[in-house]
Amino acid sequence: MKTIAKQILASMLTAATVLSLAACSGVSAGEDGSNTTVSMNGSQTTSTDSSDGEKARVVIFSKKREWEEGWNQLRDRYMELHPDTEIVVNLTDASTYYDVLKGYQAAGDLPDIIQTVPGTTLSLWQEHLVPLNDLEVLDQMQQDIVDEYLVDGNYLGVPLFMELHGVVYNMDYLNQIGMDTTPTTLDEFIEMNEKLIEAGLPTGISPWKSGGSIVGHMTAPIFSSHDDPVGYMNEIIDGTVSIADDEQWNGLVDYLEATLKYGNADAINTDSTTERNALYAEEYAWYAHDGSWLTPAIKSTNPDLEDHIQLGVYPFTNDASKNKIGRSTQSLSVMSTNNDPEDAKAFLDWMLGSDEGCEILVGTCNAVILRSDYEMDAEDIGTLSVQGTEYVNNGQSYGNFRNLPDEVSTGMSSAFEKFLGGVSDRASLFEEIQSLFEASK
Amino acid sequence: MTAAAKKRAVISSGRAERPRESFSPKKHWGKNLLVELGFLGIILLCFLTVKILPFLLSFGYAFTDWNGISSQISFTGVDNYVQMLADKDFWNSLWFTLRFCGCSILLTNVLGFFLAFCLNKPLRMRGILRAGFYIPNVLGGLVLGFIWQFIFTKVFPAIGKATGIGFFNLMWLGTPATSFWGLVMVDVWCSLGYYMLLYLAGLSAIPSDCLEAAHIDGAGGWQTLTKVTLPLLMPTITRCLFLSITSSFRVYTLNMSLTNGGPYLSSEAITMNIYRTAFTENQMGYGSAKSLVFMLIVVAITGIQVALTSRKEVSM
Repeated sequence: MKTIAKQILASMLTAATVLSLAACSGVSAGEDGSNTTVSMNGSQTTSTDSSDGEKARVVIFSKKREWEEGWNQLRDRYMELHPDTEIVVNLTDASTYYDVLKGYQAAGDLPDIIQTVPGTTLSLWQEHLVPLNDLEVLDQMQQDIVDEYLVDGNYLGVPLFMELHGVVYNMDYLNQIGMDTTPTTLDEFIEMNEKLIEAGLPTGISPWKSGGSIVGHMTAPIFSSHDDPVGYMNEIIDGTVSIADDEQWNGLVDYLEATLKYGNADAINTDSTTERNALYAEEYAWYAHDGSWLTPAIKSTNPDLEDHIQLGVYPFTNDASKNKIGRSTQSLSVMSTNNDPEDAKAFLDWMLGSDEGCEILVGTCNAVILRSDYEMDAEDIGTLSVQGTEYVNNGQSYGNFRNLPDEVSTGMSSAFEKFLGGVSDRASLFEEIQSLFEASK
Repeated sequence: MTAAAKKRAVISSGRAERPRESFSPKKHWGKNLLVELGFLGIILLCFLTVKILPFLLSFGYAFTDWNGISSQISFTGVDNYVQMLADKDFWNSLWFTLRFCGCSILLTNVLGFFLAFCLNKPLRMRGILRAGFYIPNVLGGLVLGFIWQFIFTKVFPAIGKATGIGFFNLMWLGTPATSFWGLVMVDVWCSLGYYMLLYLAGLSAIPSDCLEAAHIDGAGGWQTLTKVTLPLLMPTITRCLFLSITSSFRVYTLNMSLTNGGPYLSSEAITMNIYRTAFTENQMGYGSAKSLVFMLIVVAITGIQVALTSRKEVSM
């Protein structure tokens, strides 16, 4: 009798195992007809309605978590217009985005649309991406930026938005020392700080806890100042060019030294969140590295700041024509999955090419989109983006350089942190960076 | 004898007369296979898919140059292991991890035992104190990391400014030395309560007659502790040391949230180094090789520890 009971219990446990495993990978229907998909990173995304019959399905995986409301509007509107297509949006944090994506790949469950950036990342995922040459929206975009996504004759990404970064100033403080424009050269930057100190006003704050932002955003003008940025990088790798003698590399270090001299004492201990909180609270006159991505947070925490905040160039040199702001574009790419890529492409064409889609991107997400025929309202995209766009239109911007080998990026980040922490000097910094490049041969 | 009693006697004698079945492991295994698979199935499946399969895969990847994304994988032999020998960051992070583990294991166990010893006494507030010391363990590494980051960067400087005490004016997460001790401090504070509980359980399992006998024989407090309590507590010490070694070697979330390996990778634990290699730098093959070496180190250290401390265990 006991054995029979045990066998019944064992059968029930086996059945429970099988059922729970099946449930793990499935899509469960809710009482209201909604489908709930639990993603690998623990985020939960709900797509409305799934009526009878075969529906086209497009899964979007984005790291713009702050756009959640915008993504929902885009999804709902597109599904209203195309009832035969189901859109699922999965969102995750930017810092772990590609790690989670690798997890999806390992599970054989890649999304249909992902976020990409030009350079190394695009090349890494190249074999999983579908060419987008026939997208109509490509003709509506700024061609030089679209061309950043050209790999082996194919467009593998369509630009989604642009972010603009530089030194951010609180003009209230600058006005108090008689300045109504931002510094354009290193000498002007130093003079401004001297005046701030003399007036007993706070100077600035630098988020140098991680050297990643310096490598990702601030080394770009060094490479883009050359006609062939990748060729220049290869020359460093080959050892035929010495970075210690380069005016641009020295200019970057001059600027970093100035931020250490005049900015907050614990810069090596300050992360970007601390810097941004100080910005919202208007604690300092300048913020060494920040950009247009602050707009949604400024609008929600301190909207008055919009009236007296300004984006300035990185003052690396004393030649104003060489000092620029940085621009960083991100794109959407279509992956080769079990779903039909044409459905994903149709969604992208609508999202980025239709006025309705662009209104949501600009109005709800405050994004600076790259459609050359679409006028963006300053109210929507914010002061920093408006000022940044002016720099771009005047040719005072450079694109991020995304071709650094991954191990060089990490090593450079650490080398800059050592320099900023006072552990190494300029000569050691350059020596370490040079050896990192040469080791990546 | 009543009728009922007679019936019981018959049943009893019947049972006694029944020949005893001989136990055959082969027969037993075959008969109960379904039952055993039913009960073990879930755990076995989880263990195979979550532990064994990834282990075997990473063992294979360690001899390739796979980047974690591409379908093209080349066999590179022992190149990854050769590369590891010259990888300064790997050895620095291993050295950091060994130092961190040494300090953390020592402090959590010594202080955990000390707290347990004190809170095993009939104190009036001991229930509240036990709960209080255990609470940080409930919060966990990631949350604690962010709380302590705020304390180190905001609260300590404010106290330092108000009191002028040098300890609070240190740049706690800004230099390699202070960030190391900052991490040890938070880790010990977080796990102290857990080991305190384990030691408390061990102490309360020691029979009071052993302690009373020592007392009657004239042993003092120190002698009772070293000659009676600690030898009888050796099984608990073995377990606590094993658990603290494995958990401190696995430290990741605390580092990530508190220092993120900084400044300049000086507080990067080996687990972070492996993750960075495999995922951030897209060198899955090389990261796998590192993780295998790390696993061998942990297995060796825990094996030695268990062998050494088990020998000193005494049975009651």
